Amino acid sequence: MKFFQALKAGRFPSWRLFFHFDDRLLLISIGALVGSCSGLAALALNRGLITLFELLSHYRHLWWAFVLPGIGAALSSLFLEKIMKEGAGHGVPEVLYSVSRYGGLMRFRSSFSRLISSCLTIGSGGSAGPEAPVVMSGAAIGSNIAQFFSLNDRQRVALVGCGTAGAVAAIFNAPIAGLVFTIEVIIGEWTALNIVPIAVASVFGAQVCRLLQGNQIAFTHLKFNIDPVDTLACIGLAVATAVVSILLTRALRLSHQRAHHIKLPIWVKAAMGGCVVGGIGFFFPDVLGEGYHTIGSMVEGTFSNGLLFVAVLVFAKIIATAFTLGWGGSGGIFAPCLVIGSFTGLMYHRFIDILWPGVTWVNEGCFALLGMAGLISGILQAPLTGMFLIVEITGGYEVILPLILVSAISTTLCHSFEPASFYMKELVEKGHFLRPRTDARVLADLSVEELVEKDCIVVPKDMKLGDFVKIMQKSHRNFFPVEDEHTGEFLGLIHLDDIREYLFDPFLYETVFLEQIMDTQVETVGLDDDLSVVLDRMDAANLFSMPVVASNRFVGMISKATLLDKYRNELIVQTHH
Amino acid sequence: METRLLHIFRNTPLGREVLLQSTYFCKTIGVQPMIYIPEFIKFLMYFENDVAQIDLDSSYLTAPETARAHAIDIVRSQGLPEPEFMEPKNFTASTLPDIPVNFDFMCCPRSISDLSSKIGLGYLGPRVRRIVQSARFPVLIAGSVFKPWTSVAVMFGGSANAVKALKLGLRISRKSGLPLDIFTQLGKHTHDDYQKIIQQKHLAKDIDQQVRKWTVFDSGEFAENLYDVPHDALVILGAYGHGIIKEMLFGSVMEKVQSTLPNNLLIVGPKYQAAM
Amino acid sequence: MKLTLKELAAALSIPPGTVERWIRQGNIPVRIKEGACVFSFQSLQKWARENNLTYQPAGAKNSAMPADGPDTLAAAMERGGVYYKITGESVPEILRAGVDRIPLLETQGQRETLYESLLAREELMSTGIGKGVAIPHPRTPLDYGEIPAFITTCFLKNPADYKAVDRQPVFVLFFLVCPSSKRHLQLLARLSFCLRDEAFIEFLHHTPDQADFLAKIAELDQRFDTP
Repeated sequence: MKFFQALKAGRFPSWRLFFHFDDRLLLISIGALVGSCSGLAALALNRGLITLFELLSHYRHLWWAFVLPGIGAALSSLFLEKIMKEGAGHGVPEVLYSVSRYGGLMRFRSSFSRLISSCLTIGSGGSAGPEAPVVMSGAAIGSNIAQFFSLNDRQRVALVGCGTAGAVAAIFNAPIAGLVFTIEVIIGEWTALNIVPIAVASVFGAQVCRLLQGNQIAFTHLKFNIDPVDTLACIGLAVATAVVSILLTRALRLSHQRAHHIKLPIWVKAAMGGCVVGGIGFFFPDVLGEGYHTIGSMVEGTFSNGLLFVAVLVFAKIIATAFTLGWGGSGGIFAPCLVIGSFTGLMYHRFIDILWPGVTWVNEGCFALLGMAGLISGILQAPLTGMFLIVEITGGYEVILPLILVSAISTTLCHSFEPASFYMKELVEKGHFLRPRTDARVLADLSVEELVEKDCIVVPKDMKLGDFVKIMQKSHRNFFPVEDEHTGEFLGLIHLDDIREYLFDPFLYETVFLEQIMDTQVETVGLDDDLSVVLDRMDAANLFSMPVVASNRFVGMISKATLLDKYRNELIVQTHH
Repeated sequence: METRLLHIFRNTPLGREVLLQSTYFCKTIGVQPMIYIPEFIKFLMYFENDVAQIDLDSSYLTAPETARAHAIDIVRSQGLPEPEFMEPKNFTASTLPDIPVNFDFMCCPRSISDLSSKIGLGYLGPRVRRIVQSARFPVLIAGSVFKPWTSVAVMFGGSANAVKALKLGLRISRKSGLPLDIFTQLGKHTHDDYQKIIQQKHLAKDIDQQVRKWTVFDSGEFAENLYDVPHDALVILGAYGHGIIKEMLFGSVMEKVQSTLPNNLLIVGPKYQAAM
Repeated sequence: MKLTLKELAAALSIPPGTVERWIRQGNIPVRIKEGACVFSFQSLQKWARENNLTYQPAGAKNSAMPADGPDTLAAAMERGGVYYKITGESVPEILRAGVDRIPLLETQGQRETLYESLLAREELMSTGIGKGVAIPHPRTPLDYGEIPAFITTCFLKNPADYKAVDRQPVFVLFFLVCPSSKRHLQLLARLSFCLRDEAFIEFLHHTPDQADFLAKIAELDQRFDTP
């Protein structure tokens, strides 16, 4: 009672401040809203996919059905390019980019564009997954809600995470996977400030999904009895999934590059890719679409085909996925990974069954399941996401031991061949991958303008050395920029070290002009230069400071000493929560 | 610090007029032109709390091989040194560059994204509006034919944004040495109200010294009264000073001005912060 | 509290660009409202402390400033006092007599450390710089806490042999005691500026009274400041 009275009497002045400046409560409540919205978006895509797939299933057996994925891909690419005017791609790198560079600012149109385009691609049979589009939509929803409330970057990034988590949680009915995926892949920073609202959003996303679709586990399975020998066999499986992961990554890149070099309108390329997929799908219908049905049958252990056929399926699915995504279809890599992973697991099971016929292995569904974890971990290089996702979508906690093993080994192996994961590769190559609390991040945030020291005394080129010595006494710097007194143009730099020997010779005072002793071959920095580039140049020339020059005018000096000061400040401020 | 104007160059006769106008503006008030020659049909501008995608029409990609030389020629012809060209450093997607927003001015035609059929009066393209709304810099909306201006006219309605516009007008008049006129349509405010605002913002002295004439319309339609604005004036006004809903119902000063006056406009958006 | 961006940046000793970015990124408990920075004083100060920064509003900064500003010779000499007719035949005797006159030292212990420090300096090399002037000072700065830098001027009753560099007998001593070597150099530079002036040496030979002496010093101080 006392507490409420005190609250009423306003005896907790910190209460208001808490809401204003800490914003945790605010963030949690908005996070819940974002989670629900992105959950709805995920469900909408899911429903749309099912509807479209059923609609088209009547035509699947016809001979011309192979053009269906082509038409779908072409439509989706036209939609993205002409109507939405967005670039192609699955969107996750774009989310990462905006989180890295612009505090999660995203366009409003992104919150629905990928839903529609991926629905066209996948629903018509393209081999891609709905997760990346849903992630992008969720992230854009979070970002736009944050923009609506005029929140700051940190809060906006948290809400982008909320959107992602809600979407992943809803589409898989897997709240923990939503949380872990967001933190591990999208945000990259494990702090309570992020985790709490994202967890709440995850719950809301999953709850929305359960309300509207019922609480089903995506893939039910038989009971597994895992022996130590099975766990041992998993090491081999991890190697297999790592190899397949690398194959898939390379195939995607190769097909992307090939498609890039062909000079045709984007939608024509997408249609061509789609037709190839349709052709493959004509012989192996299992490769079409997101393929969850196939996974289900494999996990249940009802997929009856033999080793060779499964091995061919692995490759067929890889090729189909590469043609869908690389040639301009819209969709994610998540679902194809799961399908390829379960094929790989199955293949491995058939293989060791032949190799050691005497041993009673655990049910093949278990291997399919482990294969999925291995592939997800390998492609995304996010072991935790792999583990939690598989546990949640199969409800198979009893496989956790081999699961951890496969995820860890697969991630490690893939990392040594492909240092950057599928999502981050492009960003890493362009230097846009800026995780919080890293050197790259701090350097990207600081600008030359913030570091420039303006207390230099600028001297005219016609000054005599004698006058200069007098000015020198007043400055506490070793550098003196020289400019043209008429045009204001920066001409060169005088460094005390270079002219020390002349300074004590009064004979030179009246005869030497500054123009004659300045260094004109100075490397300069522009105001818009990136700090990492500036530092590289300093290191290359072995300099400790450089003049900053903007449109031929001297602005100030930038030095490593100040940089350390500000860098430290920045790092402390950024990591302090 | 160097003040800069961003100009998105279109290598067509229309683009030439707009660049001439930009260059004249730069020369008159001592601003450095910064030219972007688009390589892609769209680009993004990340503002503080908003991201705007600008979709250009294909005329912006006309004859890329001559664009640079043309731009240099045009700027040189006005007696300015060779302009700087902006190369986008960051890309959101491979064909979607990010254009920085740390400029002091930006020049737009009345519509960035449509064909020249829509550059007439009464139409401001949605992208231009978006930029005005989010940008921290004022937007120079150039007419379709180059015309030097010899005075500055500020539309002053008394809102916070109008005060910003007035300050900007004073600055531009100071820098260019050109006379400044103020135009006010009396509505719910009286003459005394305006004096009070001026006093509050400590502008009285500057206005006394710099303003050539303060024209107050106390009757008649605003649109008709605009006839008194000199034909060769740069018109400065604040936009979106009031609520969005109110504007949709009653229309705003900006809409009236932009649909009535063919002059070059310098529009100050709600996010504008006086740099100096 | 409400401040403009520039004021806030100045109070935090950080470039305005950085403060603006921090507000945008949400790294600092400040919000922008109608162009002004709005914050709670306590939370900002707490934040600054935790982030290795200082929040010093413009007013508070000025009062803390003079500690490092340049000192004048006249002020330091007024603090140290001027004494006449000091007796002593040898360096230790003269030093002892001088140290005993210094008004600012409160305890015998302080006098003792100063005396020993001065003596140690003389053993290294005489501070008799010639023309009958000596500037005894400790080898290392002596920090007595509250006591600021001072110069105690002692005119001797009879010029004495101080083992000066030019072997002339010394008739006046300036005891220069400073809390920091920076201050020491500042005052020494001013003093040597005075002593380079032959007229000033002549003036000292006439053993001026305290008021005349300090007035002269103040005049020279001014000349030093306006080259």
